[in-house]
Amino acid sequence: MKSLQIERILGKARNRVYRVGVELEGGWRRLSPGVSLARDGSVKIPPEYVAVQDIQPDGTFLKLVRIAIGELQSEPLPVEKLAGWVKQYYPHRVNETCGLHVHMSFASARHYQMLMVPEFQATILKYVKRWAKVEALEPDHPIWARLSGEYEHCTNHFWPDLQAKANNKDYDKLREGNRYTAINYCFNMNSTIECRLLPMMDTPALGIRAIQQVIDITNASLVVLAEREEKVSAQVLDNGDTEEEGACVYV
Amino acid sequence: MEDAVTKGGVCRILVTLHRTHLGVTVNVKTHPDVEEFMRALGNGESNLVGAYGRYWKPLERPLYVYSINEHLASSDLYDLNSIGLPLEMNEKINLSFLRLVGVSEGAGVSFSLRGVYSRDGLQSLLHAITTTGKQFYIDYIKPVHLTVMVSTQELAV
Repeated sequence: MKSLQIERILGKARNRVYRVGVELEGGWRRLSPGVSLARDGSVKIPPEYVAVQDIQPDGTFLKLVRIAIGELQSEPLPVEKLAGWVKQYYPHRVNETCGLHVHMSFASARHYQMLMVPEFQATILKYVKRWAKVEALEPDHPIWARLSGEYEHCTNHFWPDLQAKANNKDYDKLREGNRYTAINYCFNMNSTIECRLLPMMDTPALGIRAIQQVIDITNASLVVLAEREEKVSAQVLDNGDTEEEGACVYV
Repeated sequence: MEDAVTKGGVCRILVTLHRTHLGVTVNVKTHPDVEEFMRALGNGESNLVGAYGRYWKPLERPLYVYSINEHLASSDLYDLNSIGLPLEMNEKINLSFLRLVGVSEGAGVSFSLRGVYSRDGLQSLLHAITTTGKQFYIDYIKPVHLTVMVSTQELAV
């Protein structure tokens, strides 16, 4: 599938992303009060323990606590608040099983629908790959396996309409229309487009740059894809015939 | 579209879909006999669409649908009782928009449908609406002409 030509406008296009939601996967030594993780069976981090102070009436002790493993989901954030949130909540431990998923919503459903073309996913793949090269990510970095299309959690299938109609989250990776694609159109679930391509990065700063790259590619793609939206119509005609011809059905 | 003739046929149901910033705009225009059929299924009373479901939003004026008392035989292809809901549900096409009050008048009735579609997805939806609309028309409205011939045969005794 051909990608869109966005070189000249990448990073310069007007922001059309209304809100961003981020899912961070990994292990946390300590979670802020009120913060809870969602369970995620795909995250495989070996058990690890940290010593924390345990204050009791008869003294202060050290006790070993297992790190919390799972997925932390942000609230829908304006793009300018994204970096602060990621810095504040980035996990202490990540590995190749951890994904950095980016949800984008749009003020206009037209923008969402403009991105429902296979070229958008191809463009995300191409320009994230280019970004990873510029960042000089190591050959064994998990992003390369994800970019290959062979990673089962973010394949290169294109099922926008089936995904958009899904009303619940299932874990069937074989079903046509499943959510395990690089770009997942989860409109009925979250009203967002989800990019599942990124792995968790070693540092929050690199993670923020990766997320920003996805947002920039999306905004540039919208510029290239902008064109007048055509109406489509069809009619049921009564002329005694029963043939279907073009947009008319004769009864 | 009063008895509009297209390619030798009278247009009975015309559906136009358009992807917009609200989702998909649906315009429905029918022949008066379709609206009369729906009106006749009840006592002519109508209700606001918002009372049934939240997927259809009015664009210009409030949307009303005819309430129906008659039980329509269920179809495997389409549904006429899912007002205000998505147009594709449980592998059936939701033709409930044919119950909208005013579909046969002027330019018909338009509403905004919550949902997103790719271009191919929109064409596929349109095709499904047209195919099932045809079946609905055959099932309930298309006049059926039967000729009964009684013949006698003289038997030789």
